[in-house]
Amino acid sequence: MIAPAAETATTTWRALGTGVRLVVNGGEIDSVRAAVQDVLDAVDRAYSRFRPDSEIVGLNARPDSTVSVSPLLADAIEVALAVAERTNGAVDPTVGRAMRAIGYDIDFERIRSDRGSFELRLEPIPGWRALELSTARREVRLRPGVELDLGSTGKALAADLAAAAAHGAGGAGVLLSLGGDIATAGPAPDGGWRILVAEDSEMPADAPGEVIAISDGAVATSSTTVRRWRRGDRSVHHLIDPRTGGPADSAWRTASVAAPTCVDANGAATAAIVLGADATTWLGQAGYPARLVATSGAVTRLNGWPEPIQ
Amino acid sequence: MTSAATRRSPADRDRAVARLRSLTIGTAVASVAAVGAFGSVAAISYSGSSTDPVTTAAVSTTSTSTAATSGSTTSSSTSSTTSSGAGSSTTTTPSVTSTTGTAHATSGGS
Repeated sequence: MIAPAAETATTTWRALGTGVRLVVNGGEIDSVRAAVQDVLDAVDRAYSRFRPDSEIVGLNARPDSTVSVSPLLADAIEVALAVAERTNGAVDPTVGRAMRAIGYDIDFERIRSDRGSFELRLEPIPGWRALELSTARREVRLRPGVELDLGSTGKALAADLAAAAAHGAGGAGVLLSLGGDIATAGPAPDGGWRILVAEDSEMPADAPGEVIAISDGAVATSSTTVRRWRRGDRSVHHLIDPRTGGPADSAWRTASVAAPTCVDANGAATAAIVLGADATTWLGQAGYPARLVATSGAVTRLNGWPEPIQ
Repeated sequence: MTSAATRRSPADRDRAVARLRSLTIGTAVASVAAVGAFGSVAAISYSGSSTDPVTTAAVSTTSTSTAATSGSTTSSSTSSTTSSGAGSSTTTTPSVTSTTGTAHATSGGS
């Protein structure tokens, strides 16, 4: 347990295949952690691609059928569709087959070992309009060939839900990081929640670097530098460009965005990577503060993202 | 990782599920509301995915205010108010400030 400031308590663990960091401002942490874990367990059961008995695995196995889903999975799909729409399809939940094509069909902890050379078979992304969702009836229908992967928006939604549940559990201010996607709820410490902005979420919070503060809302970072692996002589990463079906060949290697919710921040950050050179215009119109790191390492700050204090 | 703190009684779990359901509804509504913030960015038709009229009926007004530069501190904020078939919701982009000191958490790729 690390306490970066006297008024906060921090605990860390792993869930959903990533690091979880919970910081509580002015409250007891055990019950808050339990509330977070309840949400993460529900998320794991609903839409983990790596759990054979998850709902989404069952859904993907039943193309061209109308399938009833749980409220949580229906909400997660609805959120993914909303993000797909507002990013003009740059962040698309129908990348499941493409993920498998690049070898990301097992938990990332098992991917790192090279499984030898492979033929990269790029396939067109079916696109988010290739699924039908009735939110009223909580029914989903996937066209044949469509596989859902809610990895990006799903993790962010989990952070939003878990932070809200944690705040609701005791009324304390909460910061929750799921693999570097950060949601907050309730009162922040004096001076705000301090967040180190890095390319790798495993970077210790007390490491030197650019630190920002927010009093509410969320910050998310997408990067092609971390969840990256080799197959033969190829280096691939997990951010799929729906226009090609392959890993995004972007002008940016890392994008960080601040937004009202973690879903908003994650969607915008991921879209920025996929959109590449067009991201600055798109983000400029969206209005979210953003920090983009080019493949050269040059940093671009947009919409009031502040310069670091030297 | 499991701890004693995460072991709950069935009654606890039932309450958690109920809480989760209420939260997911709230978040979905907030997310739909956030669509409005992008309305001027991605004004495209929604042709045949969600059949929920809430998703298709979002109408937004967006206003942005930016400023506050003081010494080595810069911040910004954006507000948007969205009305939809499910009611109204207001979301505010957080003000981002540069600071120093040990961080509470790290935002990075994973």
